[in-house]
Amino acid sequence: MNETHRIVAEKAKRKRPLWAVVAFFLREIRRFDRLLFLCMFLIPLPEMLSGYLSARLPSDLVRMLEQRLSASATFLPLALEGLALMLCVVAKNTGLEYMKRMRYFLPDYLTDRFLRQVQRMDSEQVDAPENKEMMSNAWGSAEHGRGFFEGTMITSILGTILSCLVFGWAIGRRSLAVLLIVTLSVVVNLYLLQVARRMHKKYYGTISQYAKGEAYITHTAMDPAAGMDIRIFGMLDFLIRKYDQYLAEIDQNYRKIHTWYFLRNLSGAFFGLLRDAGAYLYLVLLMSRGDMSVAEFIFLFGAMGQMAASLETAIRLAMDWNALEGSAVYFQEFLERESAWRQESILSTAELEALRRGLIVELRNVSYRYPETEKTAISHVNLTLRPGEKLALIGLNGAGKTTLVKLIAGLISPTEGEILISGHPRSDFTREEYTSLLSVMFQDSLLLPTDLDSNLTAGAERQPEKLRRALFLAGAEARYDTLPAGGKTRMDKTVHPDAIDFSGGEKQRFLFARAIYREAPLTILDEPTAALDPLAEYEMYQHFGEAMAKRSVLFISHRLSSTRFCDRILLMEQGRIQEEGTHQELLERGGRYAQLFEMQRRYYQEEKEKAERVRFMED
Amino acid sequence: MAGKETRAYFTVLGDMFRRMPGTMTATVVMSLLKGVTPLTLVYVTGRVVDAAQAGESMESIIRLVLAGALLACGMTVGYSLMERRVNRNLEYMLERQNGPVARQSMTMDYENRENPRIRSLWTEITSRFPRFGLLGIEMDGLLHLVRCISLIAAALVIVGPGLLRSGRAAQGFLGSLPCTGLFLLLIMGMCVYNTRSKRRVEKRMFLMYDREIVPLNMERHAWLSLFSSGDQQKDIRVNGMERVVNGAMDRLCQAQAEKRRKYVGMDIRQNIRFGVVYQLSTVLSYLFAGLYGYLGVLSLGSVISFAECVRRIAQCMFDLGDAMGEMEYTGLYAEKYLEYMHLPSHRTGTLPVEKRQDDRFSVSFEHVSFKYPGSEEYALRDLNVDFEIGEKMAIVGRNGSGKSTMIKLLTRLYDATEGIIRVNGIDIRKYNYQEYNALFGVVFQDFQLLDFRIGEIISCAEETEEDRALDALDRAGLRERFEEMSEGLETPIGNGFYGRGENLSGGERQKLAMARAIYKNAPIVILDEPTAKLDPEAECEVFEGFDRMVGRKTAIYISHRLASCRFCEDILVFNGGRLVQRGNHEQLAGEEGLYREMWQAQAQYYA
Repeated sequence: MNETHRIVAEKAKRKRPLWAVVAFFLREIRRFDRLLFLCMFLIPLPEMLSGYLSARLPSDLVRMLEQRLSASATFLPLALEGLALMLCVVAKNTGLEYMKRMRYFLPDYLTDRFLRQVQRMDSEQVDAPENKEMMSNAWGSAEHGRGFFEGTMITSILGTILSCLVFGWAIGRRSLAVLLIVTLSVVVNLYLLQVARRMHKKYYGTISQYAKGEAYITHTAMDPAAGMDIRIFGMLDFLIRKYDQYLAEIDQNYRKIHTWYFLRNLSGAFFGLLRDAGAYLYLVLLMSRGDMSVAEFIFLFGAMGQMAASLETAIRLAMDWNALEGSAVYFQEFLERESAWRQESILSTAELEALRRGLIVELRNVSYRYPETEKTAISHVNLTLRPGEKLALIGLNGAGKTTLVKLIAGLISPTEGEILISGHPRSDFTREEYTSLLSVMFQDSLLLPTDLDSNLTAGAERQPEKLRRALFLAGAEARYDTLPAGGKTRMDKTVHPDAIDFSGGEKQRFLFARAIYREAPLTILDEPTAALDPLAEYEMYQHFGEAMAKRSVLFISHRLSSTRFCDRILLMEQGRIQEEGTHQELLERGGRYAQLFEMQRRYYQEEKEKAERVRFMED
Repeated sequence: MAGKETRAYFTVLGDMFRRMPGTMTATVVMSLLKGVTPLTLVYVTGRVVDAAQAGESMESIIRLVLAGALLACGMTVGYSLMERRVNRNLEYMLERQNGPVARQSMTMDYENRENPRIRSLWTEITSRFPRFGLLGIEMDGLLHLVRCISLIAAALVIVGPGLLRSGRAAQGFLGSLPCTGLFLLLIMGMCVYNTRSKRRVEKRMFLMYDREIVPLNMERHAWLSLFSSGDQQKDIRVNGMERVVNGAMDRLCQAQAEKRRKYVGMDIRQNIRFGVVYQLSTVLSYLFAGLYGYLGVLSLGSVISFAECVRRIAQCMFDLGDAMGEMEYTGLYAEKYLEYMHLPSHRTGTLPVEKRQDDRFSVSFEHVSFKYPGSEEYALRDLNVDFEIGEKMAIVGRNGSGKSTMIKLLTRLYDATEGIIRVNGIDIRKYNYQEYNALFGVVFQDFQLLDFRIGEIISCAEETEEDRALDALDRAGLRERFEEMSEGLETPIGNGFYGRGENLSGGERQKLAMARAIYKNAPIVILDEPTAKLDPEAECEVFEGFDRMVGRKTAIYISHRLASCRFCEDILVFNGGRLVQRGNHEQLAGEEGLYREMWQAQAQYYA
């Protein structure tokens, strides 16, 4: 599995041709909104026409006046021309307005795309360090539409090309010299553009890192949990100084970028002026010699201005291609990541049914090393979990318990060895099939911001009896019944004012109910009673057997009292299984488990017994 | 114009001028230039045409052109200089805006966070204008405003004299001043009509956006935040919750698409209507200028200048209308921004706290009752308790019995609804809030470690006293783990923006939080479920080393692990918001009651 990931990652790192980026971008826009996509291509024509007509109108006006025609011969054609201009401009502006409005909603679409892709990707890929930069840039452009905003104006380039052709012909027809001047100034501008492009690319990544830092502080400042610590520990000044520090860094980077923009703009403007003044003088010369009428002069100058403006716009847009390329490349790469799991099912329904009734989890010589550090988290673990068996996993923090859980849950894959489910390797399953066999209650599991019932049933159809039973066994029935909105109670106060904020203990009980309801053949519980008070904990233990009947359970807890009702206990230390057996067996062995058990036990003893034990421990 | 919003808009603008005078001045100058520069060309063209028609010499024409070019040159340089500064600042306006907002979030009364209205203020301020923030939009608005005004002024300056002259010289109605005046009035009228009805529609649109689209955005935001941590993704995945997530996202997307269509539809319809009126005014300007030219009222050059200028004036009038509408809308948010930034505080005490070397602090609760904001039930009822210096106190009870609430009241995160809390005999509300906070070193149940370097996390400051930090790590039982860190106190923790930091397990994080509390060396130490995530060995260390950790300080220890009660001299038992039992372990285990029940529930497994 790791091999596949490496290959997939390499493929993405190849540089992409510009046309591929543009094609990708256009496809995304089309998916987002067809009309927007159409607008992008339909606008250039009215854009060009309005440019042309707005140069013609004043010129024709002057010509008619010069020629001293009759009123109707003067004003009628002018009025018609004016109307045509009006229609073109309205069409253009309406299109542009639509684009402007719709663009604003692009981030919604892009973030949605992003999130769906995150769901499709494997956990390992999301966490992989080599994907970090790509993902944070992709997210940056999704969240703010960076690059995509600019990209929608790309088709204005079509309009400018049209304009250039039309005006170029109109100007060149009359005076090749002027055409040359205009073209030359544009060439110079293009060169300057290249330089600016390079600079932008260079600084973009750094800036987004700092911006992310700022966003982190802004959100943490408002976070309720962080807020308590911030006040008590007086972190205000520290955080504000950090914030200002990042701001200064961002400023530095932008300074560099904008210095280049400034130089570019200035040079561009100078050349523009030179061009304008030069052409102007040339035309004036012609006009004063009588080689050109005033009307023609007006038109040509207007045309020249239009053409130069179009080219300027084209150049600015091309500069924005930068931003587009920078963002879209990351985004595209990101969207192309494929899950390393099998896509098509090879297991029959009967086989899956059999697994759901009961399965065997086998770990054969499994080792795991986290990719960033070279530290081995698990070494050469051999483990078999039989159908219906309750296994307790004990160990100090850092012993490798969480890693083991992640491996069994399919979130990471072993660096050595293999994991088999009733003889099937992971590659036999699709990801959906595999996770349907699991139910995991992590330490930081959460309830989703929807209604309570959806949380408990995982969105499946609500079976009232099954739900009631699950709630009862989890000790959450009482709380459920006191809710005014019952199962329809919502979780998120920011969205629904009458949502309920459950306490840690209540949440834990509901999460346990969820695990019971799911009826998965393999259930993993990581500290399920950590937030419960002694009586609630006791209640849960009482019902544990019934709740987890017929299921394989991997139970992780620091409270060694809970291991007594498990069939077997595994003690992990430094990534290996050190001791294995029932509670009695391990106590009798007098090893590490016995030692840990005693550590906890002695506080619950009477004074006399305590004194005896203390002496025992010191021997 | 709606008064409140406009006033808010300008208040914020004024604030910006005070805070960033250079940038704002640059904005004004930039927009002035932006407005005036295009007109130089118009002016020169008009004069050149007239000069050519009048048969002036080439030199004078060339001089004219060169003068115009030089002027335009100077303006362009000025513009580019200003633009550079303005654009640079605009790029990170959002971040700049959020700095003071973050500060306010951190200093305002804690209970404000629970207030849904204040939370929504915050969300709107920080997310309504995602690229440039409210301040950026205001800056942009100012740009438009000044540009339009300067252009109109310049245009009037250019055409004014010519019109006045010909107006005076005209015979008959056509071409006279009243005629010109009427025409200008007509154009003005069209502009005003457009502006007013446009503003009405814009306002309707904005309200529709706020009422229908923003709630959907907020819901989206709630879902989005799930994906901010990879851990939550894993949870969703292995529990088959994807269906719920996707279902909700699909529903949201659809609803949003619908609203979007409605919103944009409103906009396009009005846009077409106004566009037509505007373009009509442009065409009329040309025709009118043509008429004047036809009648010989204006010279050829002046016809061109006139048509151009009127066209641009009309354009500006329309843009101005747009800008004013936007101003009103932005003003709505400016109001929210100002409200948020000026939230009243109830932490107004000023008394300094007695600095005592002997850590002699006494605490007493007198008839204290408390209800969480927005809740109907009392979390604490009529609490009366005293405790003194150097005492180790345990607080136990069932979930939701008021244990953590008492601590939150003591540390003044909330103020009691009824009753008084005293420290050293003085009502805590009289103390200066920052000084009061300095009395406590707390590890909350839902503590947060920020994604910074370990030294910074421990000291909550840029500088960390090395010895003091090492000692704290030692006493919290984290020394060994710390020795493994390659960069020592500079090691980043977590996956923040320092890049790959050390990943600490839940238990290690808890120890780090304790180290932080120890480092602070505050006289009163409070630990809320400090061993919840610790393994048996680490838990034992905490129990054994509690004395060492806490020293002579007043300590309050909240835990479900009743074993911790064995080393506390005083135990408070809470149930349903009330204090129901008090004593030491022997006393409480001896009498019938909640304590014994809980004790036996835990102890039986160790028998």
